[in-house]
This record gives sequence, C-alpha cells and structure tokens, in this order.
Amino acid sequence: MRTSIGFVLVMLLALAGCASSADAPAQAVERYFQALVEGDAAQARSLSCSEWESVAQTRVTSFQSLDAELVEPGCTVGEAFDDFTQVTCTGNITITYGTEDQELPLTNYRVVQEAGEWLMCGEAE
Amino acid sequence: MYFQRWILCLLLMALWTPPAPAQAELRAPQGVVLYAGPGKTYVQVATLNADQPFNAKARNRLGNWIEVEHNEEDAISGWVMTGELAPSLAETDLTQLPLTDLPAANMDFANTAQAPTILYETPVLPEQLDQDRLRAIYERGQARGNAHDSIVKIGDCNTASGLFLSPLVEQETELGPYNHLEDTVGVFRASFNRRSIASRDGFNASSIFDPMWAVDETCNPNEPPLLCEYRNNPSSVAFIMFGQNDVFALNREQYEAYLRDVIERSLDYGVIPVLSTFTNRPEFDEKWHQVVAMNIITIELADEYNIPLINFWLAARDLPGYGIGDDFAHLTAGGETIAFSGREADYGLTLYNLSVLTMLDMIYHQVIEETP
Repeated sequence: MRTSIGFVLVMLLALAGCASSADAPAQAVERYFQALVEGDAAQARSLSCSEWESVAQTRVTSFQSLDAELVEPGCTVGEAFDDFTQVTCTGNITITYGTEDQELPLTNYRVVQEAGEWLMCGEAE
Repeated sequence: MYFQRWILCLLLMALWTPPAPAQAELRAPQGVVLYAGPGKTYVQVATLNADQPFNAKARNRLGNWIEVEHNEEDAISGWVMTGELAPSLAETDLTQLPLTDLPAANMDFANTAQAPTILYETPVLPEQLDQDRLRAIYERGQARGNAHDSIVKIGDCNTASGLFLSPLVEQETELGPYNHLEDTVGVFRASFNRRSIASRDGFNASSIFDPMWAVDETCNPNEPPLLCEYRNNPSSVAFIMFGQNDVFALNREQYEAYLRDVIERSLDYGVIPVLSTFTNRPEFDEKWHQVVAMNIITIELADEYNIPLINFWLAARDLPGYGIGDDFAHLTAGGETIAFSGREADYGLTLYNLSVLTMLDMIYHQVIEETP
C-alpha cells in the first residue's frame, strides 16, 4: 500500500513537472508583461532574449509615466519552430491617460530558450 | 505758341508722380498695450485706445507681433501681438511689412533665473534655413519616392490632437492676416488630418520605438511606430514635438538618445525633421528643471544636425498661462477651432499651429519649391 501511494506521488510530481515545463514559454511571456506594467525594467530585461533586451528597456520607458494594467492575460504555447516557440496571448494592456483608456492587445510572440530559460524574443507573424 | 504749350504739358507730365495708394484706415478694436519690441519682456511704452487709428510698420518673422504707430497727437509707436488687433488686420498682408531685427526677448528683462539665456536667445523661427543641407535631405527622400506635398506628425497628445492642423481640412479656417500661408496650406492640406501612428496620447520620445504601440494593422510585427509611419506615409517633412510626458518618464540622457534616434531615422528616410521645444509653466514645481533641460537638449540637437527648429517655448512666453493648461500637459485650445482670428494671442495650440505652418511655408518656398 505504501509503495503504491509513493508511486502515485512520484507520478503526480512528474506530471506537474511536465505540465510546468510545457507551459514555461507561456508563463515567461505573462511574467514579461507583468514586469512591463509594473515598470520593472530589470525583470523585463531578464525575461527577454539578448536581442530583445533593448526593446524591453524602451518598452518599460514608454510605459513609465502611464497608468498601465494587464487585463485578463491568457497565454498558450503554440507551434515549435526551428529557432523559436510561438506563444499566443489574449487579453490586453489597458493604458489610462487622463480620462481616456487605450487598449494594446496582446498577440503572438516568439519565445526562445537561452541557458535553459524561456525568454521573450519579439512578436511573431 | 502751340508748340510751347506742348512742351509745358510734357514737362508737367514728366514731373507728376501718382500719389501712393491710400492705406485703408486701421482702427484698434480694443485698447492695447504697446511694447518696445516684439515680446512681453520688452518695456511697455504706450497704449493704443479702442477705435484709435493706427498704421502697421513692421513685423516679426512669425507675424504674431507687429509694430504700429498712431499719429493723432504725439506720434507714438510700439509693438503689439497681431491677434490683439484682430479683426482690424484681417485684410492686411503681413508680408508687405518689413521684418524687424529685434529679437523675441529683451535680455535685460528676461527671467534668466527661471531659464537660461539660450532659451531666450534662440529665435522662435530661424532667420535663415540652410538650404543646401535641407535640399540634400529632401532630394534623398525624393529618390526614395517620398511625397513632396506630405508631412508627418510625431509627438504626444498635443501633436495627436484633432486641433493640430486637422481643422485646416475639416473646417472653414480663417487665416486672417496670415493669408500668405494659403498656398502652402493648399499644397500640404491632404496630409494635415491624416492619423499618424507616430503620435498618440501618452507618448514620450521612446514610445515611437516600441513596436507594441504600432497597433495599426498595416504595421509589421516588431516594426516601431515611427518606421511604420514612414513606410506607410513617405513624406518630405516631419514635425516633432515631445516633452510633456518625457519629463516624468525619461532622464535627460534617455531623452537625448531617443530624440537623436528620431533625427537619424528621419534623415535615413529622407524626411526633413523639424524639432520643436515645448512650453510649460514655472509652477510645474520639481519638473520645471526637466522642462528647461530637455528644451536645451532639443535646441542643441537641432544645432548639431543643422535642422530646422521652432523655439515654441519662447513664442509661448507671451501667452496667458504660457499656453499650457492646468494639467501642465495639454496646450490650451479654448474650443474646437484654430482660426487665426486673434486666438493665436491667447491659446497655445493655435500659436503652435501658426508656428508650424510658418515653418512649413519657409521650407516649402526655400527648399522644396527651389529644388528642380
């Protein structure tokens, strides 16, 4: 009995690990956008691939004086290509400027793995 | 005898000179203060009372200040904002008046504790454009297929405003004494109300390099708004004004870097970049020093690249509240029109429109029209 409980636990952990690993590119994108609306440039850069770091910095700067909110973000992992994995997101970033709201919709993104980490690397077609 | 009469007649005809055409009598629509020069840092020298006749003698380059004199009793002359004498001047052709050499600010009374000399001494509009330099940029753009009769708007809420140039297309807009701008308006009119991907509420100078803001479906993935706009609407001139959001979001090094990038990209695309300083009030508390610093950076970059500059900061010193609203961000507009019927002496956005149109007129006649 104790053996079977242990087996089930190991299997559950393994499955959770697989799920987490499979979902990692989508989570990386969501964390990137969360850093963006929080104005955390260091975190946004650390979640970006090397070629996207400068854009991430510009992006945080462009949002700096604005009241930005990540609204209903939902990202899913899509097709894996040779050089990137596509992540498709729904939801938007809502910017409040004065009395007016502007919505920047989330779209499709390129995510790559560098040094074992999944990182945002720009928009996909 | 008959022959002598003929000679006398011919002599009289030769000596007779026709009288100068009578100048239509101008009368002040209201009492106004006259200054010693074309700006409110000059001392007040006289007043012109309501309904008092006057003659216009000279103007500044922008045309928003004119020198007038009245001769009823003692001959007195002085400078007044053109808009304060509207509508009396509606039929006056300002270009017939000589240009003054007087600067826009009297440095004896300019508040240099508030802002350094360079902001007061840089003219609102340049005395002379570097035609060779601008022609070279324009020709590069023509070789790329840029439209000679199109402008691009780049900036924040004040540039994205529906009252920036757009009313010249969408409304019957009076040019009043600035009617000499009519042909330039006619040439570029079609681009005046075109929505620009590179101007938007909340933009600072970095925003136009962030692809996320290029939400227009015509923009490619990872294409920044500036480049999307230049690709969609290849034009000959770009009017660029940032600052109101930059004072919160960017430090001076970032502001300079992004503005330099806008200039470089514009030159790459063969678009003549026209920079503008921005206005604000000294009551902007701790941000005032940023306003001053960023405007100095703008002036220095225009000088470094030898490109046109509108020193709107200086022009707006003469407006109520310096032409900026109580939110310290939006230029004052006072309604849904930009008619130059005196409003240019009261509202920031009207004066900015006039400044941009006058600069465009200079570029059109001195560069574009002169390039074969």
